[in-house]
Amino acid sequence: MSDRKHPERSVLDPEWEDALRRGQEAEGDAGSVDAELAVVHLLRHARRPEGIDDDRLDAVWDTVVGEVAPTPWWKRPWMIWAPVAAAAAVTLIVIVKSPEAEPTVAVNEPAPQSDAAAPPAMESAREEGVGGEASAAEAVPQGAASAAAPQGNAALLERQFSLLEPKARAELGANIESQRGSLRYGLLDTAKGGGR
Amino acid sequence: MNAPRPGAGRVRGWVMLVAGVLLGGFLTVVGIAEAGKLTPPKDPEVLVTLGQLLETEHRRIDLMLENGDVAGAIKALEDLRSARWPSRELGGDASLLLRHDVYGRLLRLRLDNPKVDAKSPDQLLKIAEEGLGKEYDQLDANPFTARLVAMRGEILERLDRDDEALTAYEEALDMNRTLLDELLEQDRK
Repeated sequence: MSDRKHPERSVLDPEWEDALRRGQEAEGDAGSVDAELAVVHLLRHARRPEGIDDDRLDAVWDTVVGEVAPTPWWKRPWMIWAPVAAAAAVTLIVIVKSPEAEPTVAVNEPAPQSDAAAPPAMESAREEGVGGEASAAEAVPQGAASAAAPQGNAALLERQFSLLEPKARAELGANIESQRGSLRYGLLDTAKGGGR
Repeated sequence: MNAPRPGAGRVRGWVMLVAGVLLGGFLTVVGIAEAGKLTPPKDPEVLVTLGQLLETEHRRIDLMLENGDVAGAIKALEDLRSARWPSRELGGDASLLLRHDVYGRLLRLRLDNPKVDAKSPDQLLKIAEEGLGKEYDQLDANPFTARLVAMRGEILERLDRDDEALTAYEEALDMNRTLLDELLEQDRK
């Protein structure tokens, strides 16, 4: 028995490892002694645990913490995608509520408002320009509310006209007045003999 | 042989660049200055006379309508319709706008009062197209033309020509969109 040949050898003796390596060499490096050596190392460590210095322990601990600590919320994947998704949603909303929808809503919704706003505007147009030609024409369809009153798009466009008419009529009147002025000057010039 | 000077190509490039910038600037300034302006009449007297006549006639029609005389108002407008209207060249863009206004008023009265001096939808369509003429799409956006185009759509709708009606409505809405934006912008100021 080997214990009798080497009574002082314990499991902690490094001679175990040397003997195993020599045996492996003697057999032409055939086979593996890694399993046996692992058991020897385990037994040695169990009998006398090896110390580890503080720096290495910290390094090991940092590695462990890095693996097991929860990811902060600002580093999570959804934080990357959420702003992109939010931007896409805002863009979609902006496109859906496009500017051309505004006048439609504004004109469609406040029928009382347009009716209320029209008379004074038309009054001013009558004073300023070619006259409030359409004021009575507007009053007839609205007041009569006949069965033939325009519906849908036609009604919408008619309301838009009532909003736009005063300004356009004033501008048209100003244009004619300007032509009248130049004509007047031309006639005066002719009368004074300057045109001939 | 005369070899080209080394810097000649560069100078030529600069000259062309400056010329391009000046031409672009000039066209931009002219474009901005002319935007929204009506083409002036060749004969201002024609436009002034037309404006005076229509002002008087519109006031007379106002009175008729106040007295409930829809038939009289329609007849007065029909009389105006049968008059000889000046061409765009002679009366300028303003004369077309005045015509569109008269035809628009006539058609509105006819559409709202179908039993007064009744006309078939085909006849109404003819009136609308006669009022618009061939040059209406060359005018800047204005509510008088847009209204007449919209009423053309309304008549087409009554004739069950829905696709054409929709096209007319869209055309009128397009014209009004810019004008409404301008109006809203003015209100904000």
